[in-house]
Amino acid sequence: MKSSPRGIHSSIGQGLGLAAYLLVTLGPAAWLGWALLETVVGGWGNSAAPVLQAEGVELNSRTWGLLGHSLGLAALVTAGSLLLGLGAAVWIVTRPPWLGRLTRKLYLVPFIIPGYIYALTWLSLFSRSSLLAQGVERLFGQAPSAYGLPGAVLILALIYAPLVTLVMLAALDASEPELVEQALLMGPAGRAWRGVILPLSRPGAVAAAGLVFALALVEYGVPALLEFNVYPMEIYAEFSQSGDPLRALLLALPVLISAALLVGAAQWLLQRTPLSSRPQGAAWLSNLPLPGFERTLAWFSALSLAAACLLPILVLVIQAGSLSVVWSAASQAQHDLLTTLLLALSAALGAVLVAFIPAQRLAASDAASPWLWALLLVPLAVPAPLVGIGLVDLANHLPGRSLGWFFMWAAHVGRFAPLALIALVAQFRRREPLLHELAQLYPVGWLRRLWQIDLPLMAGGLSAALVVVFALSLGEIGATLLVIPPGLGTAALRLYNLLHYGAPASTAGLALSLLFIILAVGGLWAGFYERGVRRFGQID
Amino acid sequence: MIKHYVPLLLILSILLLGLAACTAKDEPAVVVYTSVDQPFAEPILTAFEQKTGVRVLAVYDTEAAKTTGLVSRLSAERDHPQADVFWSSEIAQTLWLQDHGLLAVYQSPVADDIPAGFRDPQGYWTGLGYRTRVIIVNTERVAPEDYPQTLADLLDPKWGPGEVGLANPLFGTTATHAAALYASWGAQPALDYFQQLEAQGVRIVDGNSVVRDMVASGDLKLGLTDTDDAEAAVQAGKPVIVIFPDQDGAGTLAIPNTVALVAGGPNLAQGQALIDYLLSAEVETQLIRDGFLHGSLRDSASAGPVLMAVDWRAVAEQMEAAKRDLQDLFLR
Repeated sequence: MKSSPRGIHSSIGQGLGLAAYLLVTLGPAAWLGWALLETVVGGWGNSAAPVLQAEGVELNSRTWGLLGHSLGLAALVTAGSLLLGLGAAVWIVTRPPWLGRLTRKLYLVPFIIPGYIYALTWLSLFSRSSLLAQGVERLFGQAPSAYGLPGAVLILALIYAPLVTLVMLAALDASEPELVEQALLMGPAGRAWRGVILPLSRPGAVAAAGLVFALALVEYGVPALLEFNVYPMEIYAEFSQSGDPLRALLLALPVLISAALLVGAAQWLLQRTPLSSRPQGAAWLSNLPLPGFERTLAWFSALSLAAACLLPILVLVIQAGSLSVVWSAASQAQHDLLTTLLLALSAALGAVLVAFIPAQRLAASDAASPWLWALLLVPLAVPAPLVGIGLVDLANHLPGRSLGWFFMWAAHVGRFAPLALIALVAQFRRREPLLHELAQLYPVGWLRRLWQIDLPLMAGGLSAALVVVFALSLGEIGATLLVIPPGLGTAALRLYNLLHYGAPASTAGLALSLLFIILAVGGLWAGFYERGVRRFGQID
Repeated sequence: MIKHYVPLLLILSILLLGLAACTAKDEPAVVVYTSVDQPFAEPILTAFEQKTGVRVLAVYDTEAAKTTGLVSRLSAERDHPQADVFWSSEIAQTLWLQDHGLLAVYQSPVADDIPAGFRDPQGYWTGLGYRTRVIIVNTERVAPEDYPQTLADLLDPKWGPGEVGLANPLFGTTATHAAALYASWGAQPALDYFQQLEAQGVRIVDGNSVVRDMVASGDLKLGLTDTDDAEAAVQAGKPVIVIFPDQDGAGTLAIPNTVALVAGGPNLAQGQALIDYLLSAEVETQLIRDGFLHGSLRDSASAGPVLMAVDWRAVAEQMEAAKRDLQDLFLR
């Protein structure tokens, strides 16, 4: 069979797109991996002793136990986030449209506040001197504790639940009204929910589960704060002792492999589920009564997430004390805030651009294997310092001495492009094939077609990808610290510095200013998104 | 509407990247990597800029990076160093850098009056003031007659499980403290001490600032931390008292700030000028006044608490063994 020139161009384009994605996301770790391979091969060539043992990097019962902690924590956090996130999504789509629109703008707040700050504010609610703790102690004779595994699961589940809600809302928005109407003809509303709507959104749940699992598996800041030891701490301890990124990379391999296998399997399952429907919004679901259990879960989740949004903000407001403190913190950090904003915006755009072509390829059900899924998503599990070290080492081998802004941007894009990839794949898989084909027949140039048709058609997925990468980029410190150009600072670095300094009012003031900026940017983007959806409605 | 904004944002982001890449200026500059808290270090560096006209480009470390930040960066930049000066809030990282050939010799003329014990004999690093490792006690939960006076007092059975706190001894000044005990007491007695602490249910928390906050809130009765952390709680009016342990015995561990010249840094003269400024009595006094440093090295023998005699070279040699032991003990 002869390939058409257009097909060849398309294949070349896809190949280049995949190569660019892999270069940005896996390049720094692969660079270190290459050095590791050289060391191992060289070591085997020079002596019969296994290099890894000689280097002192080995897995023993203690480290296996830590890996078990991490896997268990990730599994529990995934389950908790799924319950809360799904419940919250169902609650949102079953509210009156005005309330649904309002909550859609706010539910991401816990995910946007840097995790460590978020966890600290929660912990202050449970501290012995808090009113809550004193009240509980008076009632039950013992103060509550948020530490250990239960606390880590609770706080991480609350942080990641909005991510699940984000994916589930997209899935619920894609529900087929015709199928639900048919189900309603055959029985009560509960049957429509349990027999049609929720099963149809299962692929979204699987995608969200894979995402949360990978993120929770490499999380160390919140578990460390909650005094629950996890495997990434071992990697950091090793790195701190030896300063050798190759040994740290070796130790990271079990996490990388676990994440790759589980995320790849989850995405493969998702791919096996047929999904083609119209992203026309789920406003019509607000008239569909929820059955008992689902109603209870929805209200429980909504209240939990509302508390997760409001309580930490309330604590921050109390800690800041006055508007002048917030203003003062923001003024002192104005350069850092500007750098952070520009970095997060450009990283979000960069991640979407880099993930666009691989997402198209993955969304084509006959093209993607579980191995490709695993390869494209494994960068999520690369520890942040290794991304930074890899980039610095790479820069050492390039002409010129300055890392500059580009490497910081590359670190953020590399770390978070896999998340943009997942959001975009979900969008591509929801795209109406007929509409897409019709759009291709629109007699204009490809660029105009992209701006006028393709991008508006993808408004939901693009927004999700941009928001998620933007939010994560705001809180990134692990790789940033290693590649930030001297003289520049980010709001997250300053926040953590203030935290150690012991200035709760300034810390709270800066966190609130950051939150205000995020909400302002998010509000602007939501406006664009709604216009995009309205435009799509006209096309439809 | 999206069609109008997406290209705009793309162009904007490319412009910003371009602008950011072009921000390098030709004026004299010096690059400093520092683990001193930004609120303390920034005014000092700004004052240097005003005094000399040399632009200071700083990178600040953060406790949340688990000490994998700036030292790792310096190590990774070995072939093309970006920094001229490393200003550390402690000493262990500086010794590690020295041992790995990442520092250059510079004997600052302003450091002649700093005691020999707080200067590298060859000039690879020089001490700048000191912080001490202190016991912070919640005065609402512990009666004055029960205040501990020595590190050994932390092993008293009157402290129940979860009442005594310690920052993770694999990182930061707590790791340095552990290695100092290994060097001073001997490896086995020091390990025994930590094993007894563990058996007693000591809480390993996420940093010295967390020890301070948990003692201040009453979640812990007492804990080990640094003077700057403890003083912050005192200044904030929290119900805490700071105790310098072992004043009748070996003395309290004092950990100096250290300043060092990075080997092969791009701005040698400016780097040396910044080191001279940082090591001046004026800067030391300001850092003490601001509450970051506890005392001056220049008069450490005559004023302040009794300090533990430390051989820093021996501490550096014990660091890896101490971390391995404590990793097995606490990270499980």
